[in-house]
Amino acid sequence: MNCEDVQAGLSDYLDQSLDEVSRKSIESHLSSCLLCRTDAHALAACIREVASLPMVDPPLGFAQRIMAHVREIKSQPSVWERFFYPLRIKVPIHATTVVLVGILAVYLFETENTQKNLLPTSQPVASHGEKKNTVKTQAAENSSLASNQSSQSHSDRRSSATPKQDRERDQKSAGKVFQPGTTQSARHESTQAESRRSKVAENAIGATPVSNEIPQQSPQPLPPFEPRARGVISGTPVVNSTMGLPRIGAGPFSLPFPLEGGAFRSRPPTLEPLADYELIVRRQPPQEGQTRSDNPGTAAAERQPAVSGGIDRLMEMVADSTRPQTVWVTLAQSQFEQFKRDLVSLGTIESESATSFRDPEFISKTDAEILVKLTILPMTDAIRPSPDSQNNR
Amino acid sequence: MNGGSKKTIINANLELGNLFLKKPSKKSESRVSDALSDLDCLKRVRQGETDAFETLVRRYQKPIFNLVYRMLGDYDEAAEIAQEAFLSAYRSIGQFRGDANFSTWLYRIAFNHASTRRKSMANWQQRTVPIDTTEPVSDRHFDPAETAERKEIQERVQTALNSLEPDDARIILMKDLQDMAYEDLARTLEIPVGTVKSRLHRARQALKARLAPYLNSGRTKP
Repeated sequence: MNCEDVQAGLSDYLDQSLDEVSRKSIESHLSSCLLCRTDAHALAACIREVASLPMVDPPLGFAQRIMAHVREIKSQPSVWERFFYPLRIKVPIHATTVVLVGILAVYLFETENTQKNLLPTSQPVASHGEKKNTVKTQAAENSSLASNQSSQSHSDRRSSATPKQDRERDQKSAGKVFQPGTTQSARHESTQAESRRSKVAENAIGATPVSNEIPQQSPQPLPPFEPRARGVISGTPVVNSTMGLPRIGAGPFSLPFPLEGGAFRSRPPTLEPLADYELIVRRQPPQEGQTRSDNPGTAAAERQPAVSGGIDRLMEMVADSTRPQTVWVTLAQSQFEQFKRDLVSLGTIESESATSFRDPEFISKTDAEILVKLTILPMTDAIRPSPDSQNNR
Repeated sequence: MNGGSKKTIINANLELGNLFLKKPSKKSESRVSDALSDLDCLKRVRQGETDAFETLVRRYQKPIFNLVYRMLGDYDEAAEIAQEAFLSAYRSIGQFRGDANFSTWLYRIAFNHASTRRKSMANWQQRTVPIDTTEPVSDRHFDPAETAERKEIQERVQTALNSLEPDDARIILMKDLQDMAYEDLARTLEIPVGTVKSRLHRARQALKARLAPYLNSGRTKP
């Protein structure tokens, strides 16, 4: 074994990993070769010095720090969890939000429906005193306007009336309630009122007794009103704003039912009160034995009116038979059928349509106050309907 | 040389960690469950038991820390790198296939981190080796002059180790400092045992060349 072989195996020799033969060969060479023995001593010194390096203890709390980081890593969501983690939080939040918004929407919708059912008059039908007050207020508000735009037939009488008198007249006319089943006393009152009306117009209303009693309902139940489809309206269109229309509620006659006044068409259609029913009535020439168009008060006095002269006053308000006119009438639901029958004396009902957005069942059950838009068209030979007005309807 | 007794222990315990369990601290005795093998601990860690990983940390913290410390020559850097090595092992514990010892896998991770840090340190070769105040003083050689001389020699050895290639320093530290067997080195370095011997011989020759001026040949007795 030469020096190169010994140098190559010297590391294994120092590690005592050589077999017995190789170890004895190297030992014999080292005993005879000073250079190789010196190298072996130097290499052994290196190994010893490295091995004698002290084992250093890690810093205090080394393991605790590592474990703290490990627990922190463990608490962090994985990539998969990080992707779905927000959903676990967001989905319930979003679902809850959607449910709450839905509940809020339903609540608002129901509230809106309730408010619509109460429009335009929120008072129940049983409270006729309150209804009268409403009519009184509206009549008072429109008294000054009505005094300027009343029909020609009433101009003389109305010109002499003061606003106070108008207010009193409106109040008393509105205080008259409609009684389908007319009693003897009511008939007597109506006769008295009409007779006074024919004498002195200003005092006619004052002579009408104001009744605060709840009107007696007909013993027979009124047939339920079946509204027709909207838009089924025929006849001459509604008059435009240039037409000076009379006002119901400010006349000198007593009204068997409260009439809503001030319904001039000077307002744009979008500002019109939303009627529950729309009636289009075509005037008819007076029949035999009927002189109502010429002298409505007398005609009403002659017959036994079911409506206690209310229709007479209406005819007086719309005495101008040469132009189409629109009036707004407020009455109870139970009075509507009677009101239509009374309109026969004015003309024929060409069209009837239910325009109410309220629930018909609700109105009929509660006998709520309804608003009727009454369009009175002149006789066919008196006015020729224009195509434009047809389109407006 | 006192490597003979260590080698017996190495041959008896292929798990590297068991090599250092012969001198466990009192603190670690109460926390580390010696009854659990590395594989059992790994199984529990995979099942979510974080404390099982603490057992592994306490079992291997000293050899890993010393390996890193001797490779870097800086105590604070060694603490940081050793911590990163353990955390990397925890993060990638699912990738450990189990076909090798956990200690082998852990040494490899620690060496990779230390090598990366050594390369990133611009002047690591000129780094002054700090006086290791944590090193225990042997009662048998409580001679101030001899202690100072040994300190100087240790600093020279550390400087020489730092000047070696990382692979050379690692194989020297793992064989001579950690007293690992050739078979364990072969598994850790993923090279044959013959290659381990040749690389070790080459690394020792390089270290000897650097330490030759400072070594007293008369002290070496093979």
